[in-house]
Amino acid sequence: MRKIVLFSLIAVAAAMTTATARADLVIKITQGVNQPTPVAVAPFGWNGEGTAPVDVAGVVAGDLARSGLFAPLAVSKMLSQPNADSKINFTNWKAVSVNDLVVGSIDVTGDTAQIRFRLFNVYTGQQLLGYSLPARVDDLRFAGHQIADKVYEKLTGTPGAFATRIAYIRKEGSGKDSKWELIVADSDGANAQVVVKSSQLLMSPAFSPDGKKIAYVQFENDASHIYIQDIATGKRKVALTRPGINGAPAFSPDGSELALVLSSHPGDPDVYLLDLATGKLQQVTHSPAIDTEPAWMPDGKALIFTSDRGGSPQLYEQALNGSAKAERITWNGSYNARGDVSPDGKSAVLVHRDNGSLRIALLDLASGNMRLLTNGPTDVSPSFAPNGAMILYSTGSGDQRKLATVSADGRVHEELSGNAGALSQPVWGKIP
Amino acid sequence: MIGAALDRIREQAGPLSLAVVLHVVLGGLLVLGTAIHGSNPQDAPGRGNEHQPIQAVVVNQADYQAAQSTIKKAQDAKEAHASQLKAEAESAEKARAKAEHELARLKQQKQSTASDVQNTQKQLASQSQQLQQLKDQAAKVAEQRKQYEAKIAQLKADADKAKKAQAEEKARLAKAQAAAEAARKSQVQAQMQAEQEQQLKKDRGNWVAAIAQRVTSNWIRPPNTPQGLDCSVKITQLPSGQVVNAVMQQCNGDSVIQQSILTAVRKASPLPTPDNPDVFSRQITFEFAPDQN
Repeated sequence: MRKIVLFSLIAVAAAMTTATARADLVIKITQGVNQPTPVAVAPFGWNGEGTAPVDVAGVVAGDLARSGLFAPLAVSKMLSQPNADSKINFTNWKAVSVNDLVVGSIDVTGDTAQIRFRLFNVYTGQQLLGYSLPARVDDLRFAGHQIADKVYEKLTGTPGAFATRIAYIRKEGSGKDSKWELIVADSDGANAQVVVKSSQLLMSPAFSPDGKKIAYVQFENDASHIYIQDIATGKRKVALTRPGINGAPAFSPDGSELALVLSSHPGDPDVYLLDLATGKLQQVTHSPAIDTEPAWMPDGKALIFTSDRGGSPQLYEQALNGSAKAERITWNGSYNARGDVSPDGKSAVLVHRDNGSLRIALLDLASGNMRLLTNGPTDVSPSFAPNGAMILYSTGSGDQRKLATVSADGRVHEELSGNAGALSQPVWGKIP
Repeated sequence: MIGAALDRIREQAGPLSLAVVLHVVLGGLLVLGTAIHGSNPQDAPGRGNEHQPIQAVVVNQADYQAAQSTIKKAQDAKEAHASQLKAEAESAEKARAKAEHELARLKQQKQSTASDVQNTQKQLASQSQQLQQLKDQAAKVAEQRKQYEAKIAQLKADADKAKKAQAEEKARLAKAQAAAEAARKSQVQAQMQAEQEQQLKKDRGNWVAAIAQRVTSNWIRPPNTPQGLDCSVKITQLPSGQVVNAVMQQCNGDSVIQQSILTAVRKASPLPTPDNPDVFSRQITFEFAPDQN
């Protein structure tokens, strides 16, 4: 009996809902705009002595801007500057058409700081995030990147990759006076630290999956060696020294192996796997052509590499089950090289030569479709951010070579700030 | 006397009263006629004696002489007798002449009376005839009148009929006209309504388009918008277009998508107001379905 009453009530409610719904106007929205979301990161309050050593809000805003998905409002255009403890007057932010607002305060106690921040949706008034994270006062920049990551993830649904590190080679001088440095920096190019200095060629840096080690090639006495170095301690060991080329190291996703290139016979480099625990080498490619620049698929079951076995440099994929033959995966144009696979394994970035111009292109691995992300003419060494949303690469020539990022949709290009000089071969570390 | 009365009657009375009077007069005359007949001289006594006195007598000479004497005597006697006779005859003759005269007078009187009667009868007949004629005329007139009346009645009936028909026709026309007018009116109304609806539709279309445009321009699609996204958000707005409430009805997208949609409809506030207030709807359901266009 009670059930019947309940059912009739539901029926009535449903009928009413239908009637109401019918009276409503329904408007279909089939399109949106493809543009960065306007956000604001108000300057964080500083509850410590003097002024803040780092503009944490500026770090956050810079990260969000670089992603290409956000357009942070200039501080000069803010009508108010609330902090984490302020009551927010959303009208001030609606007035400047900001969708989301980040406010924060830094409370300093000695060498440590507690950063409290909140993320609001200006139009719903809803607080989307509220965090308190500890930081060293001398490491507030990194804290800023961490905050940017949280904001980015909340607003995009994808983990941020700002609190990560990049590595690159910096060359100074020319000819006999040339000097090379292997530098590790924050993802925005700041906080650059020289890890290796050399008067001979340094090349091909590669992060270990945990981000603590870095592999690289160093020439000594005109012979190439592959080193693996602990970033924090600076301790290093030779991973491989063989006659000929020892190059292009790449850590496997589980960190147990190193893919690399050796030329047992001059002019015939091939891809090998080095077991880091046993030092055992395994040849992966066997063609008489040049096979180089190996990159791992995220599942660790295959490599992609560059080969000119077909007459021109193209990317191939080689399964590591020991039997399958390498398959060509690029078919567009006469030059596709230096691939890097996205974290989700669905696409690869590469250098595509187009009318003599070197440009970064995004290859869809399933369809083989390629999309150019940069305009060239000397854009090389692409490397995916660990969240796949951005690509780091080098651009320019000579001692004007710089690092730049492009959003994965090709929308936002930004050059990284950093030391002057020829910067090359950047690589983006994994999320620790 | 009767004729004068008749004349007087004729002069003084109309045909109908005339007829009545005539009847009375005629009745009187008939009584009178019988009285006249009753005094007819043929029925008078002594009338048979008038034929008997005429007789012839034949006699010879001797006898004649003798007889003459005798005769003479006789004659004398006779003559005396004769003279007596003659006197008698004469007296008879006289009586007879007198009677004859009387008879003649009577006859004449009778004749005169008969003539009078005749005349009267004639007159009567004539009058009767006249009366009849009058009667006939009256009848005729009555008949005519009847006919006229009938005719008039007919005409009247016809007229009534015509009038009725005319009235009916008029009514019919009026009705038809009214119907036509109503039809025209309803057509005009329908047309107006159609135009109004058309206009309403147009106004609503314009308004909806303006709103859709505004919401679209405020919806920043997250980069990873999934294929087949279908989200409905119901908003409540004030007549000013200010969005006062927005509730997600259903959505197959994640929280990021939902936030982007809620932000879009909120940020579009105030929504464009319609040129025509009639198309305003306080509640609008936005269906975000980018792959359904």
